[in-house]
Amino acid sequence: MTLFLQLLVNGVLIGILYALLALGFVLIAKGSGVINFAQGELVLLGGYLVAVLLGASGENVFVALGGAMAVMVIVGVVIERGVLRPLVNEPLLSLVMATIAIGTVIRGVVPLIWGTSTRSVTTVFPTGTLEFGGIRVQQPVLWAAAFALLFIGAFAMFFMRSRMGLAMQAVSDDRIASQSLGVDTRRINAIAWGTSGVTAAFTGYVWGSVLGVDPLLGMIGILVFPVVILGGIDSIAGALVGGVAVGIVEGMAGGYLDPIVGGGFSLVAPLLLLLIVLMVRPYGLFGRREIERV
Amino acid sequence: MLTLDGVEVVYNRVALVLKGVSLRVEEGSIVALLGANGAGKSTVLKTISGLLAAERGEVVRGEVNWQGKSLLRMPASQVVERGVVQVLEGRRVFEHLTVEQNLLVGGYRRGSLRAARQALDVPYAYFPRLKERRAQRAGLLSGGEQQMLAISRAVMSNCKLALLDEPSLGLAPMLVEEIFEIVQRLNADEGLTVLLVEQNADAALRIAQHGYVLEDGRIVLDGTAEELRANQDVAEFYLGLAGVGSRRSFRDVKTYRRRKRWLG
Ligand SMILES: Nc1ncnc2c1ncn2[C@@H]1O[C@H](COP(=O)(O)OP(=O)(O)O)[C@@H](O)[C@H]1O
Ligand SMILES: [Mg+2]
Repeated sequence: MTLFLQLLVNGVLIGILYALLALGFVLIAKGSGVINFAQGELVLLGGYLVAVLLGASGENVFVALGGAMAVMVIVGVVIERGVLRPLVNEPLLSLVMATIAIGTVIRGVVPLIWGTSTRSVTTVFPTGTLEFGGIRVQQPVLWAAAFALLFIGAFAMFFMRSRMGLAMQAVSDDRIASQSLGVDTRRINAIAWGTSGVTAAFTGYVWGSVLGVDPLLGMIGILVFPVVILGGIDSIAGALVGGVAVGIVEGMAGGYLDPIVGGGFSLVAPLLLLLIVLMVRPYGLFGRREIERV
Repeated sequence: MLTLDGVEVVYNRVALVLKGVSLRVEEGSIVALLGANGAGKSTVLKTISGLLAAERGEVVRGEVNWQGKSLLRMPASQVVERGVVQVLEGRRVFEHLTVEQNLLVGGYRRGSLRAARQALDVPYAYFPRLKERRAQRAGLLSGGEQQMLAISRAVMSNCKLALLDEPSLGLAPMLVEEIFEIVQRLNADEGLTVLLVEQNADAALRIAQHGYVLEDGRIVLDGTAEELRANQDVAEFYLGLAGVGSRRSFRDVKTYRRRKRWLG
């Protein structure tokens, strides 16, 4: 029983961090209708920027995180302007291919600039382990998950309660209708990519402080897909639920099945879960079914 | 006043769809633009509203002026800023937003969410049904309610000239009457100028003062609403008065002869 609860708690905490990863992806899907295959690489870039700026600023986390966010806003906007805007009336597939190309470039360039050794990221969170009734929680992970939740909540509020957030949702619902009402859809797209850049910097920091920063960090991007397809590619609440589900499944598989099969099952478990969900609910658990009226 | 002079439009640089369209809409009036499917009615509206660019359409000749200023090559957001809004064919509500959120996006150009909120009273006064359903997702509204919402979104944008594209499409006659009556009240009480594109000539000519008939990218007939209603061709082709059981389509063989008569 203790093992079960321990795995559950680990799964939920790590799942919240997956949700944070997925948030950047959801922002772009909602705000510009593009499926961004480069989300993991944006997080990688954000993580490196934080790590490098930490070194340069004498380990000042606020300067490093703020600086990384600012740079990532620019990166996001440049991607939107330079790569996606010229493709705006092209088929969705072209846009998707373009994001794959962006990801590949980032993955290639980052080690060229910063090398491949793992950099640790100073955590501002208290270190050490807490224990409640036999269940142990690493403090940095606990705090990271708490801040990730706050961050996700803030974006959910932004979407529901602000003029820009509503306009972003309108654009993802019907681009031409938004234009007909005077919404500047290009500006909205740029904002979506900019905010996604901020999210990537924050995610890079949070994940980096848990795992360290090295070129493999970009690989967590692959987990965006089970998370967002479980939750629906354009739902923030869905990202949270999807993230936690993936975290729990992965944790349980690691705790119970890996010892039996000799390891590695935790890596495929989220993808198996994804397959099952797709068979039952092809639009994801929270995703928009195209609303049909009869 | 809105004026179009000899407007020619091509799509994809090749297909000439408007072949010299001229028309005028006086401020404070309701003008109907009638025509069969594919005549180019929606293209006329997109030319005015600036939405043509998004569909690879281009004005190759002619002038479009609103209140003395040219609207040509102006991005849609600026056209809206000048008080001209197109209500798209097929309603196109934001299905996953609530009724009220749809209206708030309609008020996007007012600059802040608070300003948009303060403007909600006007559409709610004209369409009380929307107020009742303010928290419902727009995708779940009936067709008539969605059309009301689409018109209300334009009202929220503070528009002076509404370009309505086939608002009666797919609606029961009673609903059409209800909606057209409200459009008439918006015109009378709020001073809203309306360019009303319709295939339902009967309903449109009941609230319009003036009308144009568009065919194959050209204006083939225009006149006051009474004149058009009295015109035998319009009566036959658009008002469904062609005699028992023989409501004919505009693609009829006789069309050619008739058009010559209009043009001659
Ligand atoms: N985006 C487009 N690209 C190419 N051709 C178009 C486009 N939109 C409309 N057309 C063509 O232009 C003609 C007029 O269309 P439209 O203005 O939609 O007519 P209506 O609104 O009167 O039915 C049609 O032949 C249609 O096929
Ligand atoms: Mg049309």
